[in-house]
Amino acid sequence: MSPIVPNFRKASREAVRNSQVIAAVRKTANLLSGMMALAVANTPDFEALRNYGRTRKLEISGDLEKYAQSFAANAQAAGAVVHRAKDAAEAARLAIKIAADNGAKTAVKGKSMTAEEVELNEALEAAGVTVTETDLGEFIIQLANEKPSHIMAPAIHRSRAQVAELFTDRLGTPPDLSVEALVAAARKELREKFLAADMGITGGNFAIADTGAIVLLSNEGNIRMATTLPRIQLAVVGIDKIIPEMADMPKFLALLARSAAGQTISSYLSIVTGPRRAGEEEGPEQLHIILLDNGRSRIAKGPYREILHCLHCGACLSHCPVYRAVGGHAYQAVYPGPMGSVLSPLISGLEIYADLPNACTLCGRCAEVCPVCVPLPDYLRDLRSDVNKPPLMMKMAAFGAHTPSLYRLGMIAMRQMLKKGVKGLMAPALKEWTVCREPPEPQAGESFRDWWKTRSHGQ
Amino acid sequence: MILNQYLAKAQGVGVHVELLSLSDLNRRLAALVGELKAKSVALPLIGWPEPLLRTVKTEVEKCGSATVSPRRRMDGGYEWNRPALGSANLGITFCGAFIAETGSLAFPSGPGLGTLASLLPETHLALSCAKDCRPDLGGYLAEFGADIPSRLTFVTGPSRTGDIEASMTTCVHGPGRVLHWIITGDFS
Amino acid sequence: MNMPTTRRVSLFLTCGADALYPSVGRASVRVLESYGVDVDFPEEQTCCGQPWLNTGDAKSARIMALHFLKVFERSEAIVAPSSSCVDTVRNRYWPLFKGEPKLQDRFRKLASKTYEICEYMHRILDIPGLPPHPEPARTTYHSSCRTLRGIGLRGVAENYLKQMLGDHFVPLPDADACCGFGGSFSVKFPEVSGKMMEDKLGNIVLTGASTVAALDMSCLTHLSAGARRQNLGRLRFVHLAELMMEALEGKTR
Repeated sequence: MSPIVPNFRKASREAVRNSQVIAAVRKTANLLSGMMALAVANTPDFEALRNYGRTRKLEISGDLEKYAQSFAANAQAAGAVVHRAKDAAEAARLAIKIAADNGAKTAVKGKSMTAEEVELNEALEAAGVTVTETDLGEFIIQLANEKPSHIMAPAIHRSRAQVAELFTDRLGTPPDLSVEALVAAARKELREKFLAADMGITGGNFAIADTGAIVLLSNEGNIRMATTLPRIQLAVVGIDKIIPEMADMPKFLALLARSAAGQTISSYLSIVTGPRRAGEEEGPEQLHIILLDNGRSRIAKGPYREILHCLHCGACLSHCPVYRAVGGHAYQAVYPGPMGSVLSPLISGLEIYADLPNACTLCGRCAEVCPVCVPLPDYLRDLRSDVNKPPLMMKMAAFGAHTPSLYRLGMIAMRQMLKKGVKGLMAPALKEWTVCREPPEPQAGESFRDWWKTRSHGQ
Repeated sequence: MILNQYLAKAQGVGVHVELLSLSDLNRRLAALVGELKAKSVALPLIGWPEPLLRTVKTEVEKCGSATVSPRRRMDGGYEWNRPALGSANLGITFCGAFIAETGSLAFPSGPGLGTLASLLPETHLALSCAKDCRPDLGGYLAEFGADIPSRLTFVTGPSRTGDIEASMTTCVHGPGRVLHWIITGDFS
Repeated sequence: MNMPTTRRVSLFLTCGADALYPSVGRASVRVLESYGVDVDFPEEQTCCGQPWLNTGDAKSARIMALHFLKVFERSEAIVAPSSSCVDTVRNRYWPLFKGEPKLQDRFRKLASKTYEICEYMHRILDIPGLPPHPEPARTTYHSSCRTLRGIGLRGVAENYLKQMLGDHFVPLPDADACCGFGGSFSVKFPEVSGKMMEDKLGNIVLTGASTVAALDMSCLTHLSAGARRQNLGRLRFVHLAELMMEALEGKTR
């Protein structure tokens, strides 16, 4: 839909200069990672929990379709209408049809990256449905006409002052409001939308196969509103969110809540099983669930299967030194950061996001904090084999580098070149190197090999 | 033991939690309603131990506050008068299960068991019996077996957000203040 | 009486020290020898292949791995002054040979006897302490990502530094953050790499240190080149082995 061709080099070059954004990103990323560390430290069996998460997820991703069918059958039995969407376009069409069939003109929406993947808001708006984002972060970026820059903290790139300015501009609030006053203004603005909306749209943090339940976490209460007040509820859920049993849920919840925001549980946990039942005074008359595939079945069969284990907690983003240096928008993808640099190319195409697997120093922090042990750096390294075409110079260098005589000549040549100025094949790499650095400086004096030779002869 | 764990957890997430005897309830309710200058109080009527509901309803009305409750429909179900509910300053609900492991209040749905009274007003008071404390979430969920209600809501502290500069702020969409009074002793 | 058998070690110099830092190789040899280790230097050795491995050229990386195996397979132990090269040999070689169990087995054996020099001193030679440095300078330590998360060495280098330098050792704030080098990353996204480097150099300046030690010369190549660009004055960037040699021999350079 967007004509922009993603270019991480260009976007990141601009991003690192935006000190205001980077300062805001860092402040929040530091707080989030600090809170996670504390919560993990207070959980004595966290490593065991992580292992459980990974093992259980391996069972699931090994048989995704079985669990999807089981979930669909049980959700239908509970009275939900389950739709399967093979791709984003089909999911958007289904959502439009659900709204049209029920005459829904207004919708309140909870934060959902899956809906972002589907570009659901754009699709519904084009079909005449007014969608209001109700998660405070999402509400802010919707007012600013931006995309989320973090999967858990979508407005991480905006400072309080910027939000205050935005609210004054778009909602007419007095200038320079405090955080508390901004929150109160959003409460007032959104309360009316909740009460009037025809449709509530959410994602789903977990979908439970054995009961057909959707599990939703929220701290603000917007999810409770959206799943309780409107007469139609739509949940857009990736098939990777399915877990086998209700008994699995508390453990995955423990992993997710700690990793996402350093909590043992979110302020609100909503377990939604079908629509309102006879005699109940709340809940939607209809519950529609769109189960989105969009490449997930394909990914499950390939070498990057464990990326589907991701709980979308955002810990890898908050801990990633590259993410912290450039912010989320530089990735120009729905999913930024380490998990996004794996998932975005796999969902949208390697050729579109060929930069992203390379946009990583392989520092390993993401794997260290991932609550389900997704081998993110290994995947990013392996994905480079799929996206990179080794330049001729590197091919030649490989030949030289495993031939001792050529290698030794190469080392001598390198020392000479760095001392006297770089020309020829090495020049382009050095040009990039010297964007922020001086050329490497070889030590003066004899080489190690010469020293070793004289030394052994002397002995 | 688990009650102590619950108290610590709930305090940790910002719930104003305390143990009360039934005889203290009237005085405390009067004080709360007075402090909030609550003109109207949202009060669901189903699922309560009878003496507790009677005490609450009588005391609130004695304080001069109106109570808003779901109406019985012709079909036997219930429904809220939403504008009236929306203007309530305080929601008082019975909470039949609370979880020590996480410090959470559990609200399963059912006819007359709506959760809006714990969501829309800025202050939410939950009343429980001490015996209803459960050790953990998994055990509580297992109590339902295959018979899960349409909505099962867990409330752990006030409505909060960190979406602006990760600065923790309460009272976003739900209540900014959650009180949990656990009634000790036998009052059946 | 049982005489302890002499330990024998093959030095893997690494291409970085080969091309740029002969002093790191010399220090490694002298430190090991001062503890009675018999050091040899297989001259056919080249590079571990990391640049190819980390840019996704698995085919070339395999060729490099096979050459490394040929050179070092018969060694009793292999010691290198670089965590990232050790991480490569230990953790990255064998997965390149999935489906070739015999070869993979040989690579696993190779992996089990390859050490970073600081790690070797701590885990194998079991050196509990080092003598004080003769001319201690205010020094900080960059704990590289591959030291921490690649070979899992935490606190060991810092302890040795404390023993040699006492209060002259100053820990680096935000120590476990990446310096922004990342191999090909440093030239693919030099602006981002530069931003991360600035942060790391900023923290180094905060410590007031005049010497920066690490177990990875690749990070230090990047940081020292950046420090020169930023005119940060005379910062000395050294491998820990160089400071160890100075302490053990009682003289600087």
